[in-house]
Amino acid sequence: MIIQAALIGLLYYMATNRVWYGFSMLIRQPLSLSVFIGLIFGDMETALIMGGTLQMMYLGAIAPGGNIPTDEALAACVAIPLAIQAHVGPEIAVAIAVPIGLLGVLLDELRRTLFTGLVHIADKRAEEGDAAGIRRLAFVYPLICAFPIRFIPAFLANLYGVDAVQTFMSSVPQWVLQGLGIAGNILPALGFALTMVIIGKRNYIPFFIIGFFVVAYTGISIVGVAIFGFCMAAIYTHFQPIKEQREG
Amino acid sequence: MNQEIVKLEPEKITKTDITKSWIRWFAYSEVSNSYERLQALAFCGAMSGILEKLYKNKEDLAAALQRHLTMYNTQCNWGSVISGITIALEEKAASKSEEVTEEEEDEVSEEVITGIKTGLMGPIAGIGDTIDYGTLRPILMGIFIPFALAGSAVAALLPLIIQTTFTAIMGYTLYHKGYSVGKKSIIDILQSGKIQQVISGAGVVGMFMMGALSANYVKLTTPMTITTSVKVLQIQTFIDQIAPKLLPLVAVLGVYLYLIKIGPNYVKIVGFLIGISLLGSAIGIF
Repeated sequence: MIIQAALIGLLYYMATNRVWYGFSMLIRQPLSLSVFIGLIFGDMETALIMGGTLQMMYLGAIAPGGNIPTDEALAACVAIPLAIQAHVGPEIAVAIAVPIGLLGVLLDELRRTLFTGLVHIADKRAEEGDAAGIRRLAFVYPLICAFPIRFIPAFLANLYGVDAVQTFMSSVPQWVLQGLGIAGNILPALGFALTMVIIGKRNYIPFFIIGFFVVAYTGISIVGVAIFGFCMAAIYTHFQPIKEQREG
Repeated sequence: MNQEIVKLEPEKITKTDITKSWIRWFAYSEVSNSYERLQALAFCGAMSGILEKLYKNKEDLAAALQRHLTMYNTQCNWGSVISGITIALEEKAASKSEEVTEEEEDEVSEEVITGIKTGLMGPIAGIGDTIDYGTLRPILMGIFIPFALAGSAVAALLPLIIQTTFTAIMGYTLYHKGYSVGKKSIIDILQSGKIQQVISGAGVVGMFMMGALSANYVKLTTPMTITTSVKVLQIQTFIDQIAPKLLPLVAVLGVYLYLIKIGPNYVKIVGFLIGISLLGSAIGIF
């Protein structure tokens, strides 16, 4: 139990230390993390279902200006192990994940506040013309500082969380559980809507509606959807007037 | 920032130097992200090896390091092009003393470098986020989530593998491209119809995918009934006769409207959705 909790702590640290751009943006996603969590707890099937379900809610969660709206990595590293051990459904896992993801934002705020101190040390190194010192401040020291900030919360939550969840589950009335289940099914709407806002073109709403009803009426696979989508994009850009303005 | 009279020759910047700088940029970019200056430390760290080769004089090096510790924030993949351009500009600035009069273009000052960096970082971040995280990532996730839900661990890892590879190739190319084309062509690229076409094409696919995924994964039905003297009417059946999955559609569009009209208040929306689910469950609407 302690070993598993520690491994999750390490996993969360690895997912959030942000080393190597691109990798860092994908490793923190619940879908990617669920594979490792599945290995740690020896239950790949459940982990993947939880990870896939959580992923939909966090689909559009990007970080404009570096401010993360929610910490999907902490949500995954706490909710998926808890759901596996407490034997609850993915809807409940989503409901557990939401508040944890929001708490995770505090950790990121703590990290970025602390790192302001590093920049001031860097100012001094720059004055001295110490390039190697700046590289250490940009990489080695923040990685060391981030370790306790990331490891400890995930470790503790995994160590003590299961009991708390099980107690909670047995004490809450049925309508609350059902309500959390409903919330788990609606919350992916936020992920999709956020992505639509990021795409940022309101006049593209008809494409959203077409995509929606193509699936609602026919139930075709997502690969089929992608084929239609790319062809439609090709047709659209072909007939598009060259200097269309980008709207905000 | 006065020019030193005794100036040591700057070393030549090689392709390896640029690759090394790119590796540092990708490794560092978000690691030291702070509230005060965001990616400044990462940018300066990535640039530091280049600056060491260009400015052999301690004071010049200090000044160069300091000017790259100013606030910086962009999307790190597409932002690679800015770093490439910066290297080209720094190289010009460092060699200024040699070709004094020749061309006017050689007038690369600190203001020009900082101006180009700050001018490009915003628009590039917008383009990069839209393509990488507004379109590519949701599409990859959308394609592989169903396979993961069906139990394939490989499928769950494929978005990670594919996007990491794509980002690395893209970033590497843009870093070198930025260096070779200098400052002029980025403005050409931004203004050309090509990039606009890519962005709008990506937007179409993205929107279409969001619709398809919403229909697949947002679930909302109502158990409400209307009891008439003749029979019990299921409201859900009635809704389904108009069009399938209308309630999920309303949910997504409702959240979307909230986001664009009132603002991206993540916490409030999550709270509201959970609240309304609990309420709906308690009084039997959902």
